[in-house]
Amino acid sequence: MARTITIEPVTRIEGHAKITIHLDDKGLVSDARFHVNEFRGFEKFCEGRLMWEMPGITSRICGICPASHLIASAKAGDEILSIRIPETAEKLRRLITLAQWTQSHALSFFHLSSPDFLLGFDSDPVKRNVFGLIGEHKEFARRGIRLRKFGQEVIEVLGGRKIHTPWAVAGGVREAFDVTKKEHLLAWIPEARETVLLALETLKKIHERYKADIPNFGNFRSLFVGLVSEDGGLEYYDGTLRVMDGGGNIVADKLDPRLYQHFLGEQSESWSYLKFPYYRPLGYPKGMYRVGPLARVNICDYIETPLAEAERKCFKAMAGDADAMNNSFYYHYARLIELLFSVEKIEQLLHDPSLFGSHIRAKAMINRDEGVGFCEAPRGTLFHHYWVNENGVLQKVNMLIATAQNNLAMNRTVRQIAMQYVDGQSMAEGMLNRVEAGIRCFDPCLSCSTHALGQMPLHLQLFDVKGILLDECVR
Amino acid sequence: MNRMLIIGYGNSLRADDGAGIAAVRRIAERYPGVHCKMVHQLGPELAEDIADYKTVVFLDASVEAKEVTVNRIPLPVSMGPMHTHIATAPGVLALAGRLYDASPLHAYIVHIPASSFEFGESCTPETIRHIEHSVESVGRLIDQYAGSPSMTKHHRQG
Repeated sequence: MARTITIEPVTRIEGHAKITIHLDDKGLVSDARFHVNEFRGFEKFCEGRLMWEMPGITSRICGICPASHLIASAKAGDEILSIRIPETAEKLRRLITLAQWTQSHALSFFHLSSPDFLLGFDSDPVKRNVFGLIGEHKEFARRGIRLRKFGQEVIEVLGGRKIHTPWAVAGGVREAFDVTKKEHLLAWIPEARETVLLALETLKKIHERYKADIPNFGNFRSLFVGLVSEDGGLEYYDGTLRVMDGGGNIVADKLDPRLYQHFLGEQSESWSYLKFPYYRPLGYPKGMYRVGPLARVNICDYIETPLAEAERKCFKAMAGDADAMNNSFYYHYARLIELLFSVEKIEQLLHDPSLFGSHIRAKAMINRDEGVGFCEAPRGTLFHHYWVNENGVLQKVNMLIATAQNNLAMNRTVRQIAMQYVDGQSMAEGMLNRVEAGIRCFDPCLSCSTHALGQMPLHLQLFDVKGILLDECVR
Repeated sequence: MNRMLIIGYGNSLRADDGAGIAAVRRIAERYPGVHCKMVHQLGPELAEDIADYKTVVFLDASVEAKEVTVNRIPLPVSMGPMHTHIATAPGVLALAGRLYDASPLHAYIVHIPASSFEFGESCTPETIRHIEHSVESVGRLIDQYAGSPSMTKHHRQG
């Protein structure tokens, strides 16, 4: 009898979702879907607001990456004003973007994914969380919490508070850097760097420990999309878009992110609130692409800081120098490389005298009726697109969120893992956790992509083909 | 070890949900010697902060409470479920104990009655009244646990 297994809600991700696994008459996996069943509709209720308010409003979309929304929104405002912001303001915005990467990547690796790696996919689910991690690996957990705190400290020094700061505005930022806080932040750097290096060392052991599992964790060819700097380096604030295929070939380069709608389309499906973006030249769904750490480290030619660049070369060697790294499990590795880069680059910026200038905001009136702001959020490229009237009142809003851009790939990952591990005759907990862990590779933030949050116990339901509940378990 | 930390939490853009933050803002004005924190939500990072204090008081909005309630949190707290988005006061206390082998000697949670969670930066008149009561209640805890003359001076004047 054909059946459906439902994992609901998916645990240890940012937001609320479920996974359904569809079995055929023989009990084999025929399909698996990652459903996002929350809805907030920020784009709609922002209509009618003033363009100037948008950074403060959209930073409320998410408690994990508010600074990324803040920056993308402020940049959309820059475009509407048609101005170039002061050098100090750009450096400060870059600093907060890196701080955002630091706190978000630390959260993803230490809080959300490490329990699987260090306690084991098959360990007791009651203990397989950050508390279980503390019980078994106290110092590792403590370091992870402090690393995230470092990122939050930088954000607080700049924006006055750890989350939801309205500090960046169209034209620049509201407040200059308080130079008396410079030494305080620099004092964090040695510990932060040491923690990331420890995490990298730990992850390499995890690669060995799970070498039988890793090849099944979303290992398929797709496109990769992200920003690169003018000369092809890892970029996080500005630059142009590059598209690479799974063979490591650059299929498009120097694309203007402001024209994203020309090459990125969005498809809806009836079974999820999360849209399915795709690369237009290949159509839907063939134009599946991945964004975020795996994409960024794949597509860039180099990373500008020495320790991160050394790790990038190891990453490339692991992929095979000519190819892109196609295995989604290595999102974790790419994320740690970016963490290392963030710590190194934050230190560089804190030593840059131009960070401490007093000219932090350029002013102008509304000069365009449309503006696109973009940056690399922790989970991938983020676009805010605003249409305004002559008074700066928003007529229409479109936000293309990183997690949504990974939607096709997340579904493909879930399907691949389910086909490998799900036996229709049994529902072993560790097996189901592997399916969830496949999603966690992408570190999806559903609060951003549809925009809500929730507490997530695991609820699993087994349905027959007619939708009749056959079995159920809750943890 | 510091004497006392007061933590108010909630969303200050959702009317009464920001009652904890509004109360702690008033406490910080009235008792400048007491360490205060105002946060959108509790998170694991707070564990390190509270591990350094003898007494910690949490203030939060509550839809269940009819009057301001001050409840002692029995210590030590055993570990329970905790999520990065949704942490509880006992959860953070437990984390402090496990991570830093240090825990406050006394912990309290003050619930402030709240009814409206619509968009808005102001609390309802009823909740504003409860906020005042919560400040008085916390003032008594300050007198009890952090009662140096410099800390209570403003309270007595007020």
